[in-house]
Order: sequence, then structure tokens, then C-alpha cells
Amino acid sequence: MNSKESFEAEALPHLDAVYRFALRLGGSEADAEDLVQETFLRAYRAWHQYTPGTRAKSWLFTICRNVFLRQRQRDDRRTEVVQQAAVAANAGGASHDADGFLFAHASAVDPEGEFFRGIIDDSIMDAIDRLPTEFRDAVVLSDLEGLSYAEAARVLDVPVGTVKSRLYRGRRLLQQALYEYAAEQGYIRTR
Amino acid sequence: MSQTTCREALARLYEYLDGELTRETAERIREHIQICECCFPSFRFAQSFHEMLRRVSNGQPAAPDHLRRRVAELLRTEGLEPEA
Repeated sequence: MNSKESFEAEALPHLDAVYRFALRLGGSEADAEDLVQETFLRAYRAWHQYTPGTRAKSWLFTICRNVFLRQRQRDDRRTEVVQQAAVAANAGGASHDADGFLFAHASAVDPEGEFFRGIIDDSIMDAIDRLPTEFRDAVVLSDLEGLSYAEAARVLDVPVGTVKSRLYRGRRLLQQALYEYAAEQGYIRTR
Repeated sequence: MSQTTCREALARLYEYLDGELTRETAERIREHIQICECCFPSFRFAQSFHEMLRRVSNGQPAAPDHLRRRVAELLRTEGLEPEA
């Protein structure tokens, strides 16, 4: 198998996953498509650097995220300051015990989290998209794309412990947002 | 085998659900959760959340056909073989 064939066999099957990841990084569908195209072009040119037998999916995610970050540096339309403010606000408010505020509330009305089953997928994706970037990326890679903590750490270029804590905080924020959404929609009664 | 405390079980709930624990540790956590009245509700809650995300993950969109064609065309016209 030559390198073009091996690229087609190992990298191209992840086109859907890279597209989904690109969508979650932000921007329009057209932006995501451009990002995917650039990712595969760079991956193709750098295919000799890929180590066969490692997971091509997380390697492609790494390239995709790097391309995205470089583009964003060039064209900084994003309101990072606002996001950092949101992170700071959450850092002060969220509880640090294992289940915290949300579970204490939810357990009184819905101890098994039944409300999670009633929430439609679009609302969940909206809530994920609204998470602060660093938490959202961890949730997307781990929960939506099934990467291990170690694989997500490589994509995000952070230690495994950082992935764990971001995932923890991201999930807490997501649960809180969905709980509030479910209460608003009447899926659960909050007394 | 070391004793599993509620504190440890709750702290490792998501690592357990994510399949990130060694087999032995996962088994210890599983045994504790099954018999502990305090931890079981937290586990069920976390499990419902986990299942919800798995459901969403399975229903995510595929890349549109025109993008698939664009990428295929790109690789074809790129012409170069990746460096050996």
C-alpha cells in the first residue's frame, strides 16, 4: 500500500468526525467545511509524520484544532474576553464536592436524572456550544467523539489531569444548563 | 483488596463510566456503587447524563456529500505523493 492509499484507508474514514469537531469549534457550516478541507490537505502533506497504528482520528483532531487556532489568531473576531469572564464567574460559583449544588437540587425532584432523557438533541448541542471553549473542547472530544483522556490531552496539548478537570467542570456546567432548560420547559418540576 | 470509600467512589464515578480505570479499580468501584445507598443515586444520575451524551453522539451529522467530493478532489489535484 503506498502512502496515498494508506491515507485514504486510515485518514479519510474520519472525515465525518473531523467535520463534527470542526462544527463544534465554532463558526458556520461553510467555515467548518473550509476547516475540514484545510485539515485534510495539511494531514495529507504531513502523512509521513503520522505513526502507523496510533489513532488517526486524534491526530486529525490535533491538526484541525491547530489550523483553527491559527486562523483565529489571524482573524480574531471572537470575544475571548467574554468567555474568560464566564469561566471566572463559574469558577466562583460552582461547587467543588462530587455532586454539588445541582445534584442536591435535582435529587429532590428527579434523583435518577430522568429529565436527561427528555431533552432533544438540538438543545443539548446548543448547551454544549455555549460552554466556555476549554470545557467545551474537553466535552466534545471525550463525550461526543469517544477519545480517551490521554488522546484528548494530546489534541488539546495539555496534561491528562487538566483534561480530567476540564471535563469535570464542563460536565457540571452542562448538567446545570440542561437542568435549567428542563425546568423551563416543564420536563421537571422544581417545586 | 483495599476498602472503597464513598468519597473515592464518587470522585471516580466519571472515570468509571468513561472506562478510564484499571479493571481491578473499576471492579471495586462497581461493587461499592451496587451496595451503597448513598452512592447509588449519584451513580444513576451520572449514568443518565452519560447515556444522554452517547445518544447525542450517535445522532450527530455526517459530512455533507459536497464536502466529501471537495476533499477527494483536493487530494487528487494536490498531485503530490505525501513525502515518503
